[in-house]
Amino acid sequence: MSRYLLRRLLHTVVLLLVVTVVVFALVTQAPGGPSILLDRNMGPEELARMRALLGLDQPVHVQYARWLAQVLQGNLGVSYQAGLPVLEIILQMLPNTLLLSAASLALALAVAIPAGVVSAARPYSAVDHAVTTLCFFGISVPTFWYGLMLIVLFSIVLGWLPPGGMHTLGGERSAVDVARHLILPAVVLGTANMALFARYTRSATMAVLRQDYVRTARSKGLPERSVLYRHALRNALLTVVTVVGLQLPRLVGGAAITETVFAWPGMGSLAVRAAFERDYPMIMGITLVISAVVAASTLLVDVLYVYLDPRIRYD
Amino acid sequence: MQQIHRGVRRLASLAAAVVVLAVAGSALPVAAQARGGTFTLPIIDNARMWPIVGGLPNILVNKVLYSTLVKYDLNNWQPVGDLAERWTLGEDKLTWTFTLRRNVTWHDGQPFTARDVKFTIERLWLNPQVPFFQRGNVSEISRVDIVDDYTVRIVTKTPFATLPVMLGYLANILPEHILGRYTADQLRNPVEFLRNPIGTGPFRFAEAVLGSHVRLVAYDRYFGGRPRLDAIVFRVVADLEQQLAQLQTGQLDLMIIEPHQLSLVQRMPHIQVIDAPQVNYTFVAFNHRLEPFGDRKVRQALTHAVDRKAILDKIYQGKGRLATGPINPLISWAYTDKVHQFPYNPELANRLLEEAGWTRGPDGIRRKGGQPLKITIDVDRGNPVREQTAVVTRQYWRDVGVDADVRVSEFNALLSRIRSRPNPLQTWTLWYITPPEADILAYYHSQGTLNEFGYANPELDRLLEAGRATFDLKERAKIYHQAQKFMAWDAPVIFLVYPHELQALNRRVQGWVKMGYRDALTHMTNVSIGR
Repeated sequence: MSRYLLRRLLHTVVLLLVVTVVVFALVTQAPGGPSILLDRNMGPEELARMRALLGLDQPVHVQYARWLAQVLQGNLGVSYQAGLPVLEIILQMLPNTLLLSAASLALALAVAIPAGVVSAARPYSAVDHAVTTLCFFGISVPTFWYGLMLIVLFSIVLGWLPPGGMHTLGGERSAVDVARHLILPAVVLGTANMALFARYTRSATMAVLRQDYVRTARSKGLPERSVLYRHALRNALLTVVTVVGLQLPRLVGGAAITETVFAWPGMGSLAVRAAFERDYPMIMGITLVISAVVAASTLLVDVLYVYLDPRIRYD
Repeated sequence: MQQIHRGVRRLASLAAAVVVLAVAGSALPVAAQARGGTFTLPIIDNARMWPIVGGLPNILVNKVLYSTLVKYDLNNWQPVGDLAERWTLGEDKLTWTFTLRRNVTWHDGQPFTARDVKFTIERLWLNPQVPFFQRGNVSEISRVDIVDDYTVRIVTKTPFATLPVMLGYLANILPEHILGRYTADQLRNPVEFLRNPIGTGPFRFAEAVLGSHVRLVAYDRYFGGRPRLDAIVFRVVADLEQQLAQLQTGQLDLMIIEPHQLSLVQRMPHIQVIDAPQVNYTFVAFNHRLEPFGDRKVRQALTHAVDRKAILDKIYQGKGRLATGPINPLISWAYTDKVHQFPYNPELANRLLEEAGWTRGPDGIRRKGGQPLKITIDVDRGNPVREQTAVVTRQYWRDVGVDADVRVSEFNALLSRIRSRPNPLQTWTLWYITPPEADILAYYHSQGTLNEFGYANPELDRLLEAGRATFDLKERAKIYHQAQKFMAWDAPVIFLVYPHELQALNRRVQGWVKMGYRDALTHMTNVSIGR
């Protein structure tokens, strides 16, 4: 087991190196340069000086090596745009993204599981058709359009919820205030997952409902409710948990479009702005953190399998 | 007894209510000039409150956090004192003496003195170790001498009439008592200072929540008097649709809109649109180092071929003024429209192209020496006015036999191509926002640092050099009138429009001055939020 772990860790390090090399090459070779070099009042001399101070006059491999050396000392560099350490910015954005992701995930599960079970209990009924139609809407609706429509309806026409941001400025900071700002982006972000989870719950439950032990449960006279929720759903949930698990890395990465549409201060909108502004240290920092989290979580899952399923052995 | 007590209490509270009402009543007339409140405007990304580096979010926040030696009069755009009270020029035409205000304090309570000015100019602006994004404007300064705590002498290398204007343009003074002990390396990016920036402006730093907002609050000891507002909040909102939604729901008090959004915003009852002139112009540039743009006849023809009036009326929705040259009419002492005009005239354009030797082939495309007249117009993605301008210009040019095309790319990519040496582009459409000055040497002099057009004309060079070294305003005006006449005839670029900035402003905002918002932000002390 420890040899396996060591090997996996080694793989992870190599993987991270490859990811950062590729992303570094991509961002530095993309046309255009960092936005802070774009001021129209800067002449060629000033530009050259600025590039030299940022180390951009060096060949790409030297730039990468410098970045890597910095990272190995635990320093992700300083954002070109904000002028603050990249790690500090990421650590400020991460909780906001986790909050939004967790809220949308909870919402998605709370709606998707009952909907999936109801659909599975009466396949091809009117209820099932309604759920299926809604699911296809949820999966296919473009996020930015859907977000804007919700803003128009709930913020502008009805005036119930703020259109964006995370706090009412000038007022008291309160959980209720954050919750009000959270609703619309969480609904938008949750909708696609909701649809996906509902489909999986439906098919998994239907598969379980055909099993022998369900027939046994029914024939011994258990009420249908109990059959559905105690016997069928519990087993169907295994599939759902896997699907949800696959979505977990996205919790950290944030949702670029949703966060941008709702001006939510999270990792996704940060990444979008960093990409547009060619804020190289910021882009690299986000890449590294997200890939490290993904690598760590898959490693964790693989290790957990050993404990969950005694048949699995790594040697 | 109890009853009486209760009665007395009731009477007392009634009396109190009357008093409150009376006070409120007497306060009513004052309500017209409300105090307090928070003014909220958007920025597209986190602001770095370090005026040594560029970027619009930084520039906007720094306008209210810091001060400059001079700022611009809101009526005639002439330099007037800000941190400096007055200034004089010595006999040698090189030594300027600036007398500083005495009652200025930094936001930490320390007094502002001549040491701050010397430090900012010598250790930050002119320091080769520090990349100051506006250095081109002040590179004529050779040194700063402290005469006493409230007097400095600024010495320039050559006679530089524009100095006061340049000292008002993105030239914030920074605190020596904090930054003086920083190393050059720290001055490049003073992380500690950025966590709690100290300025002399009307608003002091209160908090910055990354990705969300920056809040500045009124500085009680501001030398121009405490601002009426309690706070200014800059909200980070990158998405323009979200900005519009926040404007409509009242989370934002101001937003800069594009002409096509006018009709939408005009339907919002609580919003007024302010049509603010700015020192700017838009243009279609020619690359003079590439054929056929070295030929004046071709440039004149391509200018006559474009219906600029239609572009102004349709694309800009009339919000602006037809441009006649690179000097904006707001610089009223220097501006003249008595110059060669380029009305829409495709026949004349055709004739000029014929005269220049470009004759139409059987396919309608003009050729010279077998080479077709093929022109690409480059434009940046995402700005509807510029994209539409490029598209209609293509059509106007096609109408006179040019095989014209449009290429759209990201702004970053477009600008880096324009700046690469040699510039590979043929024509492109962009804009300039400039200091409120007639001095256009940097853009059109053959040695100009910002001359991306590759334009070189000895006659204009001579005029622009003379303009910079002449101090008498009447004499300068004569020189710049000549320069404008010369340029209008020579058509170095197509001058399109002096566009107005369209500001969608919540009607509850009072006292906002009618200038482009970068400059309006230097006149914030009288702005207030009504009920």
